[in-house]
Amino acid sequence: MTDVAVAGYATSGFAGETDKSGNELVLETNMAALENAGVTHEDLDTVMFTGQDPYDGAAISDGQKIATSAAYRKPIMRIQSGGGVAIHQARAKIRSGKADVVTVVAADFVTADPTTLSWSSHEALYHRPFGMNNRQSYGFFTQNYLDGSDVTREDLAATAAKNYEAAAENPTAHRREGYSTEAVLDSDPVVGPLTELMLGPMSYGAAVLVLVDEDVAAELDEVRGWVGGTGQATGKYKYRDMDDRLHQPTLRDAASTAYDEAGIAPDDVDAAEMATYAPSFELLGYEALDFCADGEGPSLVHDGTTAIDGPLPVNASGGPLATSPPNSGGVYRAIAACQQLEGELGRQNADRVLLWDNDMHLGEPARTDAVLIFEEASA
Amino acid sequence: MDTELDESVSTEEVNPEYKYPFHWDLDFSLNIGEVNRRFFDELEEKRIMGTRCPECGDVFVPPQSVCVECYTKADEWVEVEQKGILESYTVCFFEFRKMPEPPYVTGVIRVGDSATCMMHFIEEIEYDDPMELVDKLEKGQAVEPVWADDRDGDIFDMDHWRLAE
Repeated sequence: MTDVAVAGYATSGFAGETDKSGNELVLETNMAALENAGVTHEDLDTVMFTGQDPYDGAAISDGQKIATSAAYRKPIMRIQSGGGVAIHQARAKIRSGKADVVTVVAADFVTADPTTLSWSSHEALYHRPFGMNNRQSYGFFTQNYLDGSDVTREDLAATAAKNYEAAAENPTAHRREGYSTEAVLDSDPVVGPLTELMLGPMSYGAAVLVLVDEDVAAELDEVRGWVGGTGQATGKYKYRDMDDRLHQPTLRDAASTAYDEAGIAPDDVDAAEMATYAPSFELLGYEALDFCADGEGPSLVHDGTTAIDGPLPVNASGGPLATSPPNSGGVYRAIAACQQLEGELGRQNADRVLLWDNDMHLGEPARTDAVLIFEEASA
Repeated sequence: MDTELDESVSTEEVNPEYKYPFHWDLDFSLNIGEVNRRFFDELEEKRIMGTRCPECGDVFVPPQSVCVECYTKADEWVEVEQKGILESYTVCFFEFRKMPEPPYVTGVIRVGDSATCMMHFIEEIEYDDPMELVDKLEKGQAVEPVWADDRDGDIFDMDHWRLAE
């Protein structure tokens, strides 16, 4: 099977509002990505959209972007489980021989209440009557984490502040104020132990990634990186054993597959981008990804390991607490991973960056996790 | 949800600068199915019933028609004890739809010996400062349902749950 390269990418950058239409965002970003990759719309075999109709305020909203994404007369596909899963599927399409050049396209441009949209995605009879939504699910998860461990709200706040410190150096990030641990703790309480600054904002913008097979890559002057391995897993919807949820078995399964496929161990990862919608997910993510032993997640924040200038920077982009576009977050995080391979983001040149993406912007139940390994060199 | 019918898509105003506001107010009607109907009928009679997997023996409250571990139809009904264990909880500090005035507490409750958990409001907790609520409860505490006087066959036939005596 062919290796798959990231030939190019583009993002509009993200903010709390945009005055551009969805098609304007997609057109500008898609054209920039194709140019960045050194391919044309005629080279493009397939377009993968990633997003959710409710965030676009239109049913089958990908269909309205056929023209601006250069998808006319091409086989297109919509992935609702996040950009990481879309890249996982795009890579599979290339490796199966069905396509040589694939774009993954995402945009966020409609103002709506994400908490209500999340509520509408939850189970109708037993969850919605209690207002279950994304933030409530993060509250359950985090409260359970704190109740069963020595982890404190200060640990959560320090983790958030670490992300904000990184975001302050990233011109693409939405929140760039560099909030301190104290500012995070002092922000408004939202749900359980989580404050407003322990949760992400609604961000708007677009991101496009261009993937190619190794033959196309060989014809290009350069590529941005290679996708060395990917894994994906989906959990149960019903609330069962909360301890099992904290263990994050789907993340562990996805990571195990990705590590095996890339032929690497967790120690081989130089940096990571994580779709962590509350600090608890990041701390427990360290453990699920085998960056540390179970129970030691907070120590990686306190000893500076995962800081932007640490030996294993996590979320050099600032992560979802700083930039949280629900449709395009996963594609943007993949771009941030590639930028770290190129030395254009963060403070180090990484040879290998792990991306953990998921669809938890809608809530934690029935989550789908994807883990991808981006590498500087082809295997 | 509002019961009064409205246009499915309507436009209230057009911002002359760059926004085009609209809202969706769609009416849906969900088939709740036999399993959920039986559960709600029993609630009306102040009984909490669950389904059991014939292979592994796991009991599910609320009921589910399939055991996700065995992929077997869970079609045996059992009545469970009206006691629960608080597996997790969270305090909501923001106003949301038709939920109670914040702060309010939502619990993830393991009812009887169920393998799954149920969600419900936890009430009758005394506090002075709303932030006290965050640390007022603990995972593993025993809880019990408080039945509504008027029951209509839905999840609010249990008005709320409270810490058990």
